[in-house]
Amino acid sequence: MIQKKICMLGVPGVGKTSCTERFVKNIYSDVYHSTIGVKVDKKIVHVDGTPVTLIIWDLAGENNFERYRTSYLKGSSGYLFVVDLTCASTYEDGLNILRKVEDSELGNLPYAILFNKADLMDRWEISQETIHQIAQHAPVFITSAKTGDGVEEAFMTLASMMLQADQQPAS
Amino acid sequence: MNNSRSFHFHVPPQNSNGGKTTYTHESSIQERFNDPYEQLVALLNERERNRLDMLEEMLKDQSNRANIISEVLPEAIARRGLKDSRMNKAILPHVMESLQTLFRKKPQLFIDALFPIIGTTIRKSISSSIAGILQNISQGLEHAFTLRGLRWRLEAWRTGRSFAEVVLSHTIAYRVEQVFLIHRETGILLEHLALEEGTAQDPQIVSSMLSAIRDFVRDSFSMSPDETLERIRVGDLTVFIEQGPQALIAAAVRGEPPPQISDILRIALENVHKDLRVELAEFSGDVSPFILARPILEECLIQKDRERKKGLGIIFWILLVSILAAMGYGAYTYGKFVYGNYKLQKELDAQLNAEPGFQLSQVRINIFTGEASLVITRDALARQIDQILRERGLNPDHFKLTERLVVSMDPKMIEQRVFEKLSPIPEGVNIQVIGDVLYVSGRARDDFIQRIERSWPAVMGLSGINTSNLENLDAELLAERKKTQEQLALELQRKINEIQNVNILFDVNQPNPREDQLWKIASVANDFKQCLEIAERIGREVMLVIVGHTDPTGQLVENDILGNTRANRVLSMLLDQGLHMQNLDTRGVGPAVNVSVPEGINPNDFRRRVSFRVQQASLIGRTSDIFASEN
Repeated sequence: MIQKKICMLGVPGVGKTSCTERFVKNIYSDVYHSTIGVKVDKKIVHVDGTPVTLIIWDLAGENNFERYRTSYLKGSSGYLFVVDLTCASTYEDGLNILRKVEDSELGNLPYAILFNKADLMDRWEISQETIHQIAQHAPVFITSAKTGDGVEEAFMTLASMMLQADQQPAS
Repeated sequence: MNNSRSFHFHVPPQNSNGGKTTYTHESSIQERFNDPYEQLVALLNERERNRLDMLEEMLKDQSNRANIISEVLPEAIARRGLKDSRMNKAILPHVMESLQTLFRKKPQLFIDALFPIIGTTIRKSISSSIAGILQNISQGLEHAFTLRGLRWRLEAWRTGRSFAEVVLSHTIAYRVEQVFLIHRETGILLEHLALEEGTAQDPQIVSSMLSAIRDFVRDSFSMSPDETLERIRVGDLTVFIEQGPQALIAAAVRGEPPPQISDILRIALENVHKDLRVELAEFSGDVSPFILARPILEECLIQKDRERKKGLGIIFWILLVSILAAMGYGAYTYGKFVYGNYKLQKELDAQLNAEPGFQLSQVRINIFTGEASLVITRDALARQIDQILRERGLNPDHFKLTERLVVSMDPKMIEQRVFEKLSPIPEGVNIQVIGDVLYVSGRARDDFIQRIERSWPAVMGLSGINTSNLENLDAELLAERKKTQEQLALELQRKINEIQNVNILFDVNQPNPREDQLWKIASVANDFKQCLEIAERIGREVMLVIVGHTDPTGQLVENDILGNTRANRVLSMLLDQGLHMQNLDTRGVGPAVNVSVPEGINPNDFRRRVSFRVQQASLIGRTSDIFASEN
């Protein structure tokens, strides 16, 4: 059995926890976010027939990378970066975090960017064009934790990317 | 070098012409090496070179290599196994895979192999399960019916924990319930063991959260990486965390763990690091190799039962004291009861038995109600029990009384009966019963004395009477009366004799007396009247029998008739004289032969007569005998 730790990153309020909840069945309450800043969830997925247990560390949202507890990031095999489509600043602040993440422990790890709250189409503040541009550099998913659109695919893709990353050094 | 001796492998035939040989003769050396020095070296090394070439040739052959390895393989495996577990780990996946394949393809092989042992295994398993169940039942019973059990149930109810948990917390000094082997960097759970399945949340998440908490604590208090969270304590559960370079072991321990638990965990962690060094170093999410850590982790699942207090439980002592107290109380009550019975009986005995005509035959005190029941035998003439009890200051209402009436042989009661029978008893008479004899003394009139004499045998309990001290006031009178009676009896007898000497004579064949005889009839009548008078006075009865006789002449039958007729004629004459029929009787006896005839009288004249017999009371009814003898 393969287990992979992944982290959910993003500024507060973008829907990290909602996405995680949409993806897994929770056993811990959100109160852990406010107490120790992280809540762990788990989901077993199958990537090409291989079962992979995703241990999802849903980190409390922070506006600055410095405020993250980097120890929580250690040991991750990948991460999902969540952005709120209805709030452009979440992407702008998020980009700063993302860059610093790449420079840190999580550098060179597989990741994907989730543009969340897609169901609120009339309030999108990030244009399709911008999203396309970003998609040139990283896998991008338009998601809605509310409807569930794109969430499963995002996690599955990350799982698949992580397995590929494992195989590359070996080959 | 004698290595060649230990290798028995196939050496390919050397072919000087064929093959790709680069060795053998000098000319070739000279051709290959222009430099004389090199030629010299080549010549000097030629033997070794040839040997190396030969070895190289041999090793190229696969069957030779297999032969070489087959010689050392078993020993190599054995030696490696002694060194560490890597050989096992290397072989394990292949063995498992082979077994799985074999199991799939040739299940019969397994069936045949398992058949002989499966029965025994199942039996053993069942008996061990049953033993476990019995043990549980026994423990359950023990806990259910003891004070301690109740206390624990109360505790469970109070704290909201399950009873089993409470029992465990009290009976187990400590026990390691779960062991987590966690990858240090990722927090991923490598292996997990629990005493009871399903006792915790998902161990994988627990493992990660535990790592998060450790990190949180360390970060929050700015500690160095070497300083880590080693212990978390919640209630009676302690989580011990031992950290190694690559992994950490967390153990959830319930109860009061001993200090050496950390040592045990550290040793286990060291063994994990030693045995799974490579797997830990190269860990990238695959936890399957860490199944090999299970035996090491199992050693951490230790537990120790709390030492039971020696001696007997408090329940026992409470029971014992209760029983002793109950017995003591029972004995006291019974003793009190018996003593009360005894005391009451004695008291009542003394009081009631002094009363004539009373017998206390049973005294019983009800041990529960305290009510005393008395069974009394009482003479009908004795006093009422209520009255007696009251006189002695006892309330009759406190007793349940049962009376049996009897005839008492108590002299006092016999005396009582005598009084009742003879009442009224005149003054001057003393009556006393001693034993069963009635003593009557004093002075009494004769009629009372007569009454006593007649009545005493009817009094129950008397067998005799003594009147020696009883004076009869009528003694003189009686003596006088006796004297008179004797005189009268003589007078009577004299008169009777006079009457019986009278003969009234008749003429031949005449029914009526002779004229000269008639005065005798008046005389007899007068005398008999006197007899009647005297007889009455002395309490006798007299009857005058008139007997008619004839002379022997004539017909006998006629004579009989004549005799009767003569008696009846005299009877009627006596009736005329004032006598009454009830004092008279007649008899015709015919001719009398043997009769003494007075002198001077013709015997036949004398034989024609009527004579008289006077019968006294006692003689009445026997007249025939008199006459028979007379005839």
